[in-house]
Amino acid sequence: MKDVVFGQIYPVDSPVHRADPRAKLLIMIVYIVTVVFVPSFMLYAVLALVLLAVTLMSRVPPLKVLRSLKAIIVLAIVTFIFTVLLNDGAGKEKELETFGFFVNFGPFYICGSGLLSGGRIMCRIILLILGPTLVTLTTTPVDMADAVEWLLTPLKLIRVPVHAFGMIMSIALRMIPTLFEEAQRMMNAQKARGACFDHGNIFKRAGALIPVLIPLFVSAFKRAGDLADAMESRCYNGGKGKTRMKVLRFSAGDVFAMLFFAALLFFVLVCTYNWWNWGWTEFFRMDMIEPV
Amino acid sequence: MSIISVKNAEYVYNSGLEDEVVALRGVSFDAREGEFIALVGSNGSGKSTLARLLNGLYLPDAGEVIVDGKNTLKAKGKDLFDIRRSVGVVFQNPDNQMVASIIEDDVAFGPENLGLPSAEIKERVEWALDCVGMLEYRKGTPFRLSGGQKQRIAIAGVLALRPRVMVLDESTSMLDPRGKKEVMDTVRRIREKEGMTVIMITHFPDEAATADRVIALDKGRIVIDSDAHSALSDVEKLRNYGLDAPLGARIAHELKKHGLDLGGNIITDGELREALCRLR
Repeated sequence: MKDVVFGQIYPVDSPVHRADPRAKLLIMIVYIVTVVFVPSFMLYAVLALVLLAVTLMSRVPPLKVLRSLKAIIVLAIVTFIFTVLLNDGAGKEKELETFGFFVNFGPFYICGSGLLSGGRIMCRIILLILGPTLVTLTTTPVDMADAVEWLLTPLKLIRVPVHAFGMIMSIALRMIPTLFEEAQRMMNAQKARGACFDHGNIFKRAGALIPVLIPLFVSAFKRAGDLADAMESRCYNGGKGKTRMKVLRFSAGDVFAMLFFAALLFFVLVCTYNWWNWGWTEFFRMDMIEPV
Repeated sequence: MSIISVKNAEYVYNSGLEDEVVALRGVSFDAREGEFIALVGSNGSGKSTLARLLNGLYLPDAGEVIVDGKNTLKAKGKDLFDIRRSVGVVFQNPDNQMVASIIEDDVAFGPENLGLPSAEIKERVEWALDCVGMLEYRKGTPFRLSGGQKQRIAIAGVLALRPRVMVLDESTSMLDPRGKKEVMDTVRRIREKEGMTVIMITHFPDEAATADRVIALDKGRIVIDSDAHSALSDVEKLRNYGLDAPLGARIAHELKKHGLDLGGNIITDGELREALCRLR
């Protein structure tokens, strides 16, 4: 829990770790959009290659990145099974013809078309998890909070208190370990006096937590008061005229990376919709029997 | 010239309610530039309230507090800003003073609020962390540090504002003996190097003994205000106000009662040792 500052970060020095967190955040968003648009296995393979290249560049062991899939593997499998079972291949006659098998039992079906879309959805889920995982493995939550604040800056125009959001995020990150430690201490104090947190049904357990939660809340409020005093003493006045020590600046590499991912999104769109009837895009759609 | 001047300051909590508490009943003192003042008093004597009056965090209900020629009652905007940057306050609990999760970001908080350019902030952060001897930890997080180290970071956070007065509001009371020593050594070093005015609120007599001047509060009034030696060697008087004299002063006092007058106003262990050695 004490690691909330460094989060999941894998502590090595690499171009990916050093990249501007804002660039990483933007790239992550573009990447997610790209994954959602991809219709074919060929293009998934392209994205997977890009992801592998970035992973190698970040010097995070690829296995470490893959391990993040443990949390969603059940979701991915359940999604796959239901996609297969509920897909009757309607409107996909060509696909059905190609594979030539169709099993029907009750409301469920197994057919080539269903297996194809199930596989694609699996790929999509996996790629959607791996990309952001790589970002969290190479960026501290503090840097991420800065990046989110920067991304929200345009909202200042409609008087959204963006600076306050940033401050709240930063203080929350700062306070989580402190409060967690305190909760632990209080639970120990209660345990020493005979409280039991791991027996009985769920209601009993929740009830046992009340004597921990109430003092925790009281102390959190007291801390908040102290912190406000300390912040005011250090000339805080709501962020008016505040400057920053760490001025974030996009490096050439950051710009290049962002352009690359924008180009990747464009490439995926061209391959998917074949706007200009370029022949070579066929290659990336070769596993697609039905057009989009 | 006095940098802080408190005139007949009164402060009441929950004024007009049934749980009204009068914390300060007419307190007056002047702090000169470069002085090292220890503010002592038993619990509820109003010493922490006084600390918050000194930088305009609280405003006096009667009387006034003047910092570097500016009255905290009338200060708004820019003036209040100037008061807070000239009087830095370090509070009791180091955990409740830290804003950021990375040490150098936390120290930078003050200068960032002043609106300084990035290069100058960096310079100040380095200087402040160097002053408290924590420069090597700059990229780390405060969670893994000891209490004394955390409090030194808090001091650095205040130093980065380049204040003229540093107020320490019981800043050592939550620390173990080693942490206390770390913080006291840091304060002494800063005083020697920067000649900063320090007002230290404490209820440890031995800490008060390191100051030049001691002010004792009792029930919201100043009851002693004199140089450290005469204030802290008066064991009986301190006891009347619920305060302990430093160990050295107490031993000298007991010896005197038993017929051995060591002479002089002994307050520190070192002075006691010297006086005893002179007897041989």
